[in-house]
Amino acid sequence: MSNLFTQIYLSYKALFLWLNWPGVIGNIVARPMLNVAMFSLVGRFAGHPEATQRYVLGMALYSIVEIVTGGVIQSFSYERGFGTLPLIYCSPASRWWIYAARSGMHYPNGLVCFVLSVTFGAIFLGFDYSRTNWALLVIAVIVVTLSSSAYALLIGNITLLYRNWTAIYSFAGSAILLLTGVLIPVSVLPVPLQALAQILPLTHGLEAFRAAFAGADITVATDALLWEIAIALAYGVVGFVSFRLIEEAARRTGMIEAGI
Amino acid sequence: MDRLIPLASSHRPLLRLGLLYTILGSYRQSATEGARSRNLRWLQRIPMAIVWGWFAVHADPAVATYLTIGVFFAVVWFEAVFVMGFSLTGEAFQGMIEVEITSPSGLMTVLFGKGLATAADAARTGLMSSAIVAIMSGLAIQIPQPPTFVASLVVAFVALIATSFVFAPLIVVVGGAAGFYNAIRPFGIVFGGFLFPISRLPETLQPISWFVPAAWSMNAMILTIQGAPLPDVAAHWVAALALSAVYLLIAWWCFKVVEKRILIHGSMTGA
Amino acid sequence: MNALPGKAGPAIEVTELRRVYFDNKLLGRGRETVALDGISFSVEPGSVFGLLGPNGAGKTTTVRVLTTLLTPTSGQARVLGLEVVRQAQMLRPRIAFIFGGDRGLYGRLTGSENLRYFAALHQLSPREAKRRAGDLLEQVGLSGRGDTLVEQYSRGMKQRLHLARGLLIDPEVLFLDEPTIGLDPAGARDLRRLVPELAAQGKTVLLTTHYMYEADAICDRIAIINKGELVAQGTPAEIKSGFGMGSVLDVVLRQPASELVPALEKIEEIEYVDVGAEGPYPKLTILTTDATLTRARIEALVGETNLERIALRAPTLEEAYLKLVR
Repeated sequence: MSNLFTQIYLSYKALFLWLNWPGVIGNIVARPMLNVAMFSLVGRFAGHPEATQRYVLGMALYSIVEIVTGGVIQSFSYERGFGTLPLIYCSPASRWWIYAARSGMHYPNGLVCFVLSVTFGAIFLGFDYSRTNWALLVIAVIVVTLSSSAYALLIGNITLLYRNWTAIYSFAGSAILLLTGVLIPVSVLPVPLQALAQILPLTHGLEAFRAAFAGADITVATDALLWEIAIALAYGVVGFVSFRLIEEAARRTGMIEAGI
Repeated sequence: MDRLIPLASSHRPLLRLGLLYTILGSYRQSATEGARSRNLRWLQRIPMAIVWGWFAVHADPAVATYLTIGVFFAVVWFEAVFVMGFSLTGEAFQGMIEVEITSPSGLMTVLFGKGLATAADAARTGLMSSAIVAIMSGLAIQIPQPPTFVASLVVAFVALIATSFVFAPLIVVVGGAAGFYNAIRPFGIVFGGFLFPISRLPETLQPISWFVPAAWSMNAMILTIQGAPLPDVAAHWVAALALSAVYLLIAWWCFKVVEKRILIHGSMTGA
Repeated sequence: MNALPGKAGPAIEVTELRRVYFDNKLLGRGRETVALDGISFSVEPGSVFGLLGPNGAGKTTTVRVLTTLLTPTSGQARVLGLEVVRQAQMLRPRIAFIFGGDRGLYGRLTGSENLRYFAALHQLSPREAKRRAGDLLEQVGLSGRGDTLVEQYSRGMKQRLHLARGLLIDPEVLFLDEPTIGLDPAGARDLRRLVPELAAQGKTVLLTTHYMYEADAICDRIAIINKGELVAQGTPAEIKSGFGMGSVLDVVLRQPASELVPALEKIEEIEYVDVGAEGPYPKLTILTTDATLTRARIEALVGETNLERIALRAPTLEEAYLKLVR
């Protein structure tokens, strides 16, 4: 177990290149608040004042996805970029621990982003959280953080095959932003995209989160939370299996250092 | 190996054309490399363009016009500040700084050519994004006074280039690290007035926009859309261009600092 | 390979050059590293000058000062009579430097495109740049590969492209910083052949290298630098035979004798002992200041039965270098 914590800590320190004052302030502090400001102000300008609350809540939860995905993807990409991937593949260490360790330290980052976003909304945009069911809100946030991590780990596998991690990060984040109801209601998307939204992280968690903000009881959001947990588990399993398959394929084809 | 034919005296630049040759050469290098890099940057912007299009769907024509135009500049800013911002550190990483710093044109001119290529590439992506927003809003675009409007566009583009370009040496001078642009990008969008007028910001935050050249040119755009008289619009152009000149001066100073650090300390960071 | 007659003044003149690096702390300066400690040397026009030294000796720092990329802390450096700091702008169009390796070229551009870019940096018109690129690619043997992406070039091809880049403006002085490092023997040999040809055209070449045989073969004069100080300079022959180098005894034994080395190192006249092999036999290479005395002592220590052969010779440049930098 101590080995796992060592891997969690050291992979974070070695492979998360935003771990410096400008990177932390830029990504964990400033960006979430600026995104909340941007979308709420555009919403008001575009004549959607009633939807502004929707945008703020969506962006607050999306900030978790953004930072967790960015951090986890880096840990895969830089593992390869720094040439330590072959050493991982040669090691006898538990592959599950290696895989899961890459997301460990990014959970707190996600939670900090979320807290700053909602605080910004309360102070500068006048959002009223007085009706919030805080217990449900906390559960929703924790579940979304887990599903975001599982999603990020799966996406991270792709950077073992394709070098340009910033492009992968952009696509992964955009998919969530566009399809999960963060800004655009899922119900107005084309039917095939609505179906896709159901299996993406955040879609159901966001429902539970908005219900919590409206003061709903936990029973109202139970289905949504269970769906989100199921999605987290599914992404976790698929991601880990992909990780192992890629390792075997790399050994077989000699592509550890290759890729697109 | 036979003796190389020595350079003719015509290689010495007439009328400072040499600077132009350097800008052209840098532009070409950056554009060629960008085209071959397969970074799919244009594809990455499509989801965001759809999101902005969503905002424009039920907006009135003036707002839809503003968003359609503003998305172009938001995307150019988003791309340009990031790529230009890393241009100097990227050149150092590739081992190019030594050759570029000894160019008779100077490091700033060399990087400026690359910056123009970045802006041109970003403009293509911006046009695509604008097209998406325009289509989603039902092409509900109204442009009164087209010549003034086009002039406002040009001024805004120049302002954007100047604002993005300053980050190339500035990030090196202040020691900015990877990831910092994820804050600079939305900051520029919020305070640049690309997607909503600056007047929509909380009053306490509006003065920040006074120092952003693009905000002045976007205000000129608003005045153009509203059919304001030319002197009012031109005043904002002048402000935008003057502030852009200040940014270029800051960039020039920062490049001098970087060059001095390399010559005195042997590294860009001065460490 | 003589210096051009009638040319006034050295092409490169370094006087008491000193370069110190400081760790910059928040308050004041931190640790000081002396990279160059008052070195002096000169290079005649049209000659090839070699700067040898171990890693971190100060070779690259010297080159960076002379190519106007680094300012000295004190002392003076002139190239073509121009002071490298105050007259850098005048000097730069007349010199070129080649640092070599994989960096310094755009992998996604072709060889021709790379050269045209560098030509633009030197303010050549596009037409002139294209012409020069074509000429130079032919000169360095890359004319058939000018339209290939540099990322597909071999190491040797990249080095030749570096050389072409350095020759774009037909410089009077060329600085080559470890030009053959990482090259295979054939590639290194091809590059070494080009250097005397450049000098024959009247160019002055200063090259830094680790390879003794390279310096021995192509340099008119050599300076050996160690820990920022010049420990020797002269022609290769002068360095090998002079400066109190002494002689070398090659001692081939019939059986391993590892206990011999500590005993030999205690002998005052012995500078150093290297342990190697000659075929199946252990071999000791001994640099000594008194060959006769040392030989007698070795024969006494080793004994006739274990001694296969003992031969006296002059030290190689490498052995002279090792003695100087140890």
